[in-house]
Amino acid sequence: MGLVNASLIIGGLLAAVPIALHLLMRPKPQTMVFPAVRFVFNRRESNVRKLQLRHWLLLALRCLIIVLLALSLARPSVVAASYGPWLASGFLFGLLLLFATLSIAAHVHQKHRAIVIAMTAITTLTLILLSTSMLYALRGRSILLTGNRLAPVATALVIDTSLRMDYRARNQTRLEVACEIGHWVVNQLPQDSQVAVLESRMPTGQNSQIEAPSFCLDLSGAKHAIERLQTTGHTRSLWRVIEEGINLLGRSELSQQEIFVFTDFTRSAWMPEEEAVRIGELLRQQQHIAVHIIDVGVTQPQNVRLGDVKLSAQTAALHQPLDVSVSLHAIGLSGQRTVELVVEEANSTGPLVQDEKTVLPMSQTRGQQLVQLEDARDLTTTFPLPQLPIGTHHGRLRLIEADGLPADNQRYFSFEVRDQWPVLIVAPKNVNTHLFTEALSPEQDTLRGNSSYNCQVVRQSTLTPQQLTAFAAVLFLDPKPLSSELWQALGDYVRNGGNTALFLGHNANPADQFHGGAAQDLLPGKLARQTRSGDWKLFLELQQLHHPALATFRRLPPENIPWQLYPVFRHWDLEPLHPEANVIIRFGNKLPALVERPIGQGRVLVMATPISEVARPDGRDPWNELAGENDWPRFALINDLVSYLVHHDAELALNYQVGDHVVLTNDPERQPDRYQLFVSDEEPYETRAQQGTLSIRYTQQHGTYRLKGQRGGLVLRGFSVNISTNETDLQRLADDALSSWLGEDRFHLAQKKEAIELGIRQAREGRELYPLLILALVLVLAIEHLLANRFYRDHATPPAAADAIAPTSP
Amino acid sequence: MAAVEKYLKPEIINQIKRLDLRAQFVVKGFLQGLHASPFQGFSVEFSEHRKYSSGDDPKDIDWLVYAKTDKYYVKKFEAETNITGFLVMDLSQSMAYTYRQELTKFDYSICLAAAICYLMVHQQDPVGLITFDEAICHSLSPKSKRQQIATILSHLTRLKPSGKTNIARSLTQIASMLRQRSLIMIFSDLLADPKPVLQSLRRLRHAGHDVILFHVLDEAETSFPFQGVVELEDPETNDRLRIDATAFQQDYRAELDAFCEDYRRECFQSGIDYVGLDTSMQFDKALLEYLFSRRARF
Repeated sequence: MGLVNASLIIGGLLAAVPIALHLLMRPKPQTMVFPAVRFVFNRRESNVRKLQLRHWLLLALRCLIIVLLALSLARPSVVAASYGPWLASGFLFGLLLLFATLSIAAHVHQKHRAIVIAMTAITTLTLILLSTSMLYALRGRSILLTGNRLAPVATALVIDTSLRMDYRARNQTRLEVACEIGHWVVNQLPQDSQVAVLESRMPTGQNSQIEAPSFCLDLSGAKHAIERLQTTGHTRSLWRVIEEGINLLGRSELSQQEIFVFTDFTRSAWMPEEEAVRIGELLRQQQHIAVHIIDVGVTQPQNVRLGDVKLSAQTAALHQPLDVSVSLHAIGLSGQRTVELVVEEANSTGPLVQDEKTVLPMSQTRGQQLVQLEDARDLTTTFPLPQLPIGTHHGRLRLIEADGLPADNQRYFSFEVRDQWPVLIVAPKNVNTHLFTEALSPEQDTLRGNSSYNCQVVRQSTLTPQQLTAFAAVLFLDPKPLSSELWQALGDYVRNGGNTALFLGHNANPADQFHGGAAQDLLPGKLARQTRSGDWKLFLELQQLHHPALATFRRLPPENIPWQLYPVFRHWDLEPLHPEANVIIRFGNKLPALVERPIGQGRVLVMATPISEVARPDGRDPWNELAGENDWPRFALINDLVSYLVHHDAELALNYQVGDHVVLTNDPERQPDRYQLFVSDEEPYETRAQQGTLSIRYTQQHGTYRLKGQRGGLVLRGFSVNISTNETDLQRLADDALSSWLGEDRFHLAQKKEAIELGIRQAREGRELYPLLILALVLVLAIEHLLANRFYRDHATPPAAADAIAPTSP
Repeated sequence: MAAVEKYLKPEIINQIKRLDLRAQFVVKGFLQGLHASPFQGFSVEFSEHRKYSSGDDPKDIDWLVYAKTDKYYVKKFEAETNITGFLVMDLSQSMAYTYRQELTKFDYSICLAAAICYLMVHQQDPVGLITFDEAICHSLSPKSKRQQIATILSHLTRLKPSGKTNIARSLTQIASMLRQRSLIMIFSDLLADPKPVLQSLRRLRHAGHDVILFHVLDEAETSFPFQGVVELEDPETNDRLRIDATAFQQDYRAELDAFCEDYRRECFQSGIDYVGLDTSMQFDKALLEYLFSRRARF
């Protein structure tokens, strides 16, 4: 509790005046002859007690009036958090006076014993409640209220600098509003105050020492720091920044400490919830820090957001069809919007610097789509990408119509087109490979040059270890046992990033030869036995539809895939499975059908039954009828599996989010070790590849990052960086969320300067009890007046003497 | 208030210094104020005829005169009594008290007694006077001559209330003293222990006397008009008591009411007429009480 006019509290001592007057200046009684004094004697004792009670009650009320007056003039104030308990204490104090008076009155008037006991019990209970309330109110006694607005303050201004703060309403962005209010807040600070300006920008980490938060040199320095603030696409939770502010304030010697949080009050700014709970607890422990939440947001924002871009593949073979899709989310509005696909033209020179200006390759609009949006509903739109030459290509999707937040109206993407994937198909002599190659690379496409795969078929007997490295994938169709040398070479091939698949069949005999050391280093399990389906038929059951190797099936309803038309009669039991093995497909008897095992940088797929078995093999029963009539599931499965094998390492990431650490492989034999990095149209800077990787840490800006180098000619590479959808999610935080995390009275929420000023005043001077004290004073005065009139009302209206004794009739 | 009745106020009466004139003033003013005289006719001696007027009792119509004159006349009778009255005056010091009235309790009492004396003598009733304090002080034997008025009034004029009183003992003495059945009119403030007083009153009643008890209190004694802290002194015992009079009014009145109610109830049960008076009241109330009592005997 603090006092504005502390000296006036001494006036409370004047309460002694009525007591002194009562004790010292008792009036000298007038002596009167009165014959009927005998009537006075009889009731003298009870009258004297009653009289004393009235006197003491009035005396107490009059003393209370003086105390309340002195207290009011002293203008006490308490911290906002303690206001409730203080209010309750005042109320209980009033009740205590009332009940105490009633108890004494009941005792003096010799009321029934039960009434006296009941009143005493109520009084005692009220006293206990009052004590508890006072203890609760005084628990924050360490909180020092100077009661002086001129006392210096340690202040941390936490300002959200996410891209959401670029939302423009009433011709001002949220950041501009925050900065304006921040300026005003700094102007309100007393001289010699300490101010730190903390923003939600994610530190890059390289210069953490330099970026450690600290107080500005003076108030003008703080203003300059506010002016320099810019939005960024890579931010951290406001809770982290608040924690930083709390830690910084902890280093200040000033007793009065405040945190101002400037926020657009969006949900994503105040996530994650675990942090909220943790910092809420921390703030409860740091009661001396006043928390002001300044809401600069818009209650009902209107915006259309482009979500994450999804490419069907980031690396595609020449002529491989590609498509790009993007989600749209509208908030606060609905209607039609146009999404445009823009793809950069293949340019032999790449970005250039001409006349100190960066000239970027031309872009061309490759498609437009009109979409009908509904409020708060997601919608996805997909564009097919055009056939482009080999190389790295960049594009973007953008909304034609402008809205309040431009940052999320454009999304960038990059993809790579490379030559056909070289695939080696290995099969023993007695195995038909045509069914497989036709599924993977139809002859018609091969002749036209439209195939994504360049398939080369070799007989298993002619396969040499040296052949493997030239292929993106090596596929074994119903292989016979391999020589240990070949197992070893195949293992090395996979560990170095190669991919292989084995479709086991009747040739895998003897099975023991698949159990050798080199073979088991590669295979996901042992070939324990063969299982026949018997009288009942086995079908494939897709287990992990989310697995990238089942991309086609994931997009189809399961009931539309007629696996029951393609029974499996026999298969190998793969057991025990290697711990790292992952079953992608099972048979109907729950035994593994397709198992994956990652090894080193590559992976191995093993299918326990052939995938391209002819319908009527010579001299034996078929193992399955997967290659039956209209066998499109087999066709899709083969393409998915091979595509998965050749692409998995090609999903190298050409599309990142702001703040990501970008690492690109850089083959020192084919690619330069020095590049110019063009970020948007800014001046390029040089970056170097080291140990086969090109590392780019600073990706704070969203857009297309272009790399240009020279090695036997021009080498153009690049990638795209997008902002996270959270950074532009304008969904408002629930009104009671902060209260639930921090506590109802732990923070002061304000939007306008008047409310902020009130909050600041309450925080620095506390919440004044003056109005309540004046109210209490008026109440006590009224009670005193009422009681005085009641006690002495006969003085004003003596009864008519004639009525004193009624006439008697005979 | 009728024009005549205003002259029955104590403050008006006080302006007349001679007691005989006071008594005459009170009685004539009182009698003129009685419109349809209900108190004429309890005598047996014929006085005069007068024309019947509305409100007269039809039984008083003289039918012989009606037969002769064909007009209604009523017979008027002049009172003829055989009751002996005694005016019993309390001479205690407390009777000399008044707080803010023109008349003390004693003045009020002798004024009332004089008026009654006047009335009785005019109705040929013998009337006597007895005064007492701790015992009987003086006694005048009853006579019905007009000279008796002057005798009693001159005696009353000389009386001065002083000292203590013993009402019970005095009344007992009176009961022993009077042999003839009489109408005893007691004027006292009764500021004594009520129990023996009531016993003495019952003794009077048992002796066959009719008793009218005029309980005369000062106006201040009924209204207790004091404010603030006062010290009250009993004039007879000199006992002092310091109280806050303002807070005491209710209690005082409750106590006084209980005291008066006790007397009223006990007197009613004993066939005694109790008349509560205070010095601010007009005299007609007391006289009317007397006449009611007088009529009840015929």
